[in-house]
Amino acid sequence: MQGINYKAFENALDTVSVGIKNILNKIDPNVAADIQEIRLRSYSPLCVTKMGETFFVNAFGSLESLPNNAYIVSESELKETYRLLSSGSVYSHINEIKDGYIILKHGNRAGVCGTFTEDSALSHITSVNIRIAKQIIGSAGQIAEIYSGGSVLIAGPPGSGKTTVLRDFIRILSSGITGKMYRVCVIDRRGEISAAYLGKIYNDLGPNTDLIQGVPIEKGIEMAIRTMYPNIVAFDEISTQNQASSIIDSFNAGVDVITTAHIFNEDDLLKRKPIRTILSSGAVKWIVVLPSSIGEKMRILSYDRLKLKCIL
Amino acid sequence: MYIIKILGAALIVLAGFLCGRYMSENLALRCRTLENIIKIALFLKEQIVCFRYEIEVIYKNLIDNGFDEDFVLNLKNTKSKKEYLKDFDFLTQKDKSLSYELFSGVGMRDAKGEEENILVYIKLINEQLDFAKQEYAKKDKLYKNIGTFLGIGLAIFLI
Repeated sequence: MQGINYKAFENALDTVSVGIKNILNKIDPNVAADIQEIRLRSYSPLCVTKMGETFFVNAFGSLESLPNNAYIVSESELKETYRLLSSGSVYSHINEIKDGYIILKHGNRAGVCGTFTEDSALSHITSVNIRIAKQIIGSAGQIAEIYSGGSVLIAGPPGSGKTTVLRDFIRILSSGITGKMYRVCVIDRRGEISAAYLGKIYNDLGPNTDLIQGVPIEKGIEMAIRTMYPNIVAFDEISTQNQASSIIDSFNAGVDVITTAHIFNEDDLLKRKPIRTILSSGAVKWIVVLPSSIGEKMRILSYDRLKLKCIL
Repeated sequence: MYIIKILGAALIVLAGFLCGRYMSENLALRCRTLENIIKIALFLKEQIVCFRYEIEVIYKNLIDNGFDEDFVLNLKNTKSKKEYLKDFDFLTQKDKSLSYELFSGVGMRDAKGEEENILVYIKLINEQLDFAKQEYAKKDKLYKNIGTFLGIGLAIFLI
């Protein structure tokens, strides 16, 4: 697994400027395999996120908890990185850039910050955050063991692996590992689930999965139900009331939905309006709550009569 | 002895004619190269505006569509302005400079910006092409004649 993770880190290095790449290449491969994010800010210390914690990188590739000896990223390095992130083709990523990110090869994604013009184009770039995508096969095994149909909500704090679990669950359902081969339609606006890049899907989503990209979730659900006749529609991050309504529509059309939601604790499930809406409609049968820290177990809940009931 | 002299003179005249022709062909080559740059720029514009293909994909498509691979790679290689198209002696510094600005600057704007930028450079390169064609029309025969007459002159002088 470490080999795969280090490869993912190496792939991410192809999108940073040569100077920074040389420094990051010096990081011990065992340490680098656990790096989740690479953060570059103009005239600021180079840092990475590992196991949810921020570490600063010095010129020799060592990780430190304080920024005193960290390597300072120059403006030209940031510009060069931006050029590499957009593959020298800003026009082909312009819609993503307007939303503050760029989809990269191998499922990685870069968040970009800076000065946005009136047309939402990025005129000056000030920081970049490259998120390294890692497909962990078997991360949804626990859910698959008890799954017997119905919609699933995978909830957890940021960085808890919601998308990773979602991706693996799609693969399992589409492969027929649960005993039934589901037709899954994935709506992946930002390419995080599929890692699709220029028409090629880099992540394993199973043999019975269709992919819709580049449309809003609501529109994607409608398109999937009308044209692809799926058993399940899957997408990442429910965040709006319109998306909640679309999930209910999908449920009413007999198509289950698998999605994720940001929560910090289980109470948030009932506090957040879009989540509460889909729970109270009865559209969601299973709620998977991912732990915030390593060592804790995931919990699987059901929603019954305005209360959450623990199943596993 | 006369035969050798005549043969030598003929060779000198031929050399003069070939020199003139070489200079004239350089003008023709400049015209053809500028035309090719314009064709490539138009292809680039179309692929960006219609398909939003990434730049590397466009260069690959250019080669797949029959454009000369070496020429495309030369245009694409914009790492150093000094070294840019250095083997293309028949192009003027302005031709090279316009081509460099066009190909080094592509990819940093939205599609509309790219289209406008490429069209501006196509217009400027087209102007260069017009000058090159006029020069070719004027100087093609001139160079050939000068070469031939210089050869004749030299041959007479030596005989």
